[in-house]
Amino acid sequence: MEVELKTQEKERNILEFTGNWFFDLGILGFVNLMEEIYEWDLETLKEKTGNLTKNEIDALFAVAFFGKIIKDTSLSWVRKPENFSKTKLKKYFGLEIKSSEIEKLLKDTEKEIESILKEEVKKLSQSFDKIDQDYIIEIVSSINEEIKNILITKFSKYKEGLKKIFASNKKTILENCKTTGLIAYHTFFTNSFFNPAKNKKGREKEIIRGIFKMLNNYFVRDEIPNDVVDKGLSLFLYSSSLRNEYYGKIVGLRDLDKFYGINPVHYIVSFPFAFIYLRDRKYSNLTSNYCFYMNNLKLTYNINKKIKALIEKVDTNSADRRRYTIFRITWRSIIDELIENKSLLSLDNMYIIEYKSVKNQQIAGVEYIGITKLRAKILSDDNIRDKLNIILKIKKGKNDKNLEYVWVLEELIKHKPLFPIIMNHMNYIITNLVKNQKKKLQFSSKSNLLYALSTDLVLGSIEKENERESVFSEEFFAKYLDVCEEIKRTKRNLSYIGSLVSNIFRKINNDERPKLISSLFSILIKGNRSSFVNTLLKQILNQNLEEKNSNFFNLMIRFILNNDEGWRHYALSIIIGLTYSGGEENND
Amino acid sequence: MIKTAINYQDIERIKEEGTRAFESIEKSSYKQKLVYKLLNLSKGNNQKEFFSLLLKVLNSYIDKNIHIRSFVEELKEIYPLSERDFEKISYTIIMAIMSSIKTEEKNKEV
Repeated sequence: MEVELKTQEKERNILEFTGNWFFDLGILGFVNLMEEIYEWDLETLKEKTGNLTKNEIDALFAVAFFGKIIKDTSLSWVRKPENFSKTKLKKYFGLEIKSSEIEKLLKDTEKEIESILKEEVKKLSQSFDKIDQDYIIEIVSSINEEIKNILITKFSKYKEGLKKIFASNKKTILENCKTTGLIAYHTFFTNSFFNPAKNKKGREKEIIRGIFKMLNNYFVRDEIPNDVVDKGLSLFLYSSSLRNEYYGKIVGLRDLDKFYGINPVHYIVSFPFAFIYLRDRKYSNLTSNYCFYMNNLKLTYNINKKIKALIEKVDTNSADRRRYTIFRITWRSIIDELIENKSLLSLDNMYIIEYKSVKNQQIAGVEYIGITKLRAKILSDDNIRDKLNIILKIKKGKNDKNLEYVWVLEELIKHKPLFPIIMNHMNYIITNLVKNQKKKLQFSSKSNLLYALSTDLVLGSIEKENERESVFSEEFFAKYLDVCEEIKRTKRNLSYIGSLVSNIFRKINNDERPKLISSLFSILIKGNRSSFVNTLLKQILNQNLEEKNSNFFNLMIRFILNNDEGWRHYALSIIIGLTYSGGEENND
Repeated sequence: MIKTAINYQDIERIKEEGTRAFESIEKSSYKQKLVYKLLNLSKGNNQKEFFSLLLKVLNSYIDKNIHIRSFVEELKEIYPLSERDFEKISYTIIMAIMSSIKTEEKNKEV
């Protein structure tokens, strides 16, 4: 019987997504929370939760939850630049706000807060056998008290220089520490745990006990009956007594527990921890909270981790900031995940969940970022994806020095045509070639460019045909199945015609070559097919005619003269062939 | 009156027959000059003069070679062409002549 119960408990504790995005983000938030506090990654956490009892998980969760909120709140108090009055600090201490002494004070305080939390958590793991509600309350209270003491000790030295910026500008950080219960505030939990009106000194234990009331008895808040899930638990949920924008009224916590086989409190309460805070306007229109979601825990976890790391990297490097938008960061992370872990992503089922602020009840913006099946199919082909995963330099405006960087995959995902980008890139290459700056040029790979051209050509023709054909015809589905093969086949043709032309002109002199390329390119920009063919044939006539030319002529007839829709792509591959001849040869 | 639009098979046939016809004409420098002239006429979209020059050249060989005769017959069938088809056919013929130049030289070497 005991074994059976243990197996049931183990099954119950398996960490996986449920298929409901709201709970799934809660699960992700739970994973993030446990990782931040206990430094367990997803795999370790899965192993741990599989072997722990409900009470043990509840205890770990409660300490992590309060520990994180207390840490975040106290750090935010320390980091407030308005803590100090500029004039008073100067008058009493002869210091500037940005002086090294003040900066050291802030840094040391932050460090000590972090280390206190770590020590207490360590204590918990060493005394796991005596875990009970009172012990957890003792640990959380001790974290809170120790952090309060640090704040009081550190800031007391500069008491006369402090400004009243807390409690509606009535208290300094020191006064606030002395009257507040738990140093804890979170916009998501003002209606439940951390209501500032109730969070007073002496009531700490009562507040901490709240989480156990919720975990064990499904108590949410006084005004509503037990087990009713509402805004008190998460601002995304329906509330009968508080007006809000909500994402749905869900059943009671008990029902949820039965339905999903997990204690929903862990996940609903952890919901805000799934999000990445974007503090820079450059990533998004507004500062906001951002999360990538797809219905697989491991992939969602990995991709969000990559997004977070990239954001931190971009944050510290101002040159990167110009290049990266949140769209690019997200997709870069998705593509990296595809490459690194060979993940089988269902690329057509992804979402971005974003909420701006909770102040004005304007809480959520959920955006579907799935891409069409056709593009998903292309991205899931390792070879094509790798070839399109390049950043091309293009000229911005007429000034040669004004350059822009375009990530080819991004354009594909955004449904933008790739042909203009390759034209633009070649424009940059050819302009420099004519100026004889070949040595300084960083040539992008020929085969990357040809893959981009081929993808554009194949997608263009499929989309054009789709407009004409019935979507349920057999041909319609066949095209989707063959798209990657078709891209590779077309790339081979583009590559072949380019290599033939480069062979015909292999003896052309180094001064003549850039002139020929430049003149063909100008004609292509004007879109004049007759003139393009005419100029090319005249130049071939000046070269030694030979047997191999016949193949080239046959391809010219087939792909340029008799190809009204795609001739420009082949003409550009001829130009690419001429530009890259002597350099990289067909390598795939 | 312009005839029905040219398709890819027509173009391939003209290329093939044109190459065969011009392979029977040996003078390569003569053919090169002809190509230059035809390229200029093609660029100016001068269909009438293009075909008149071409037929003038072919006419002087028409009795000696069956391929030339058959090629001329083919041209008769397609003329006159729409502006768009002329672009395709004129360059196909030019490339057919260019293809014949190398074949002739190679044969000579053998």
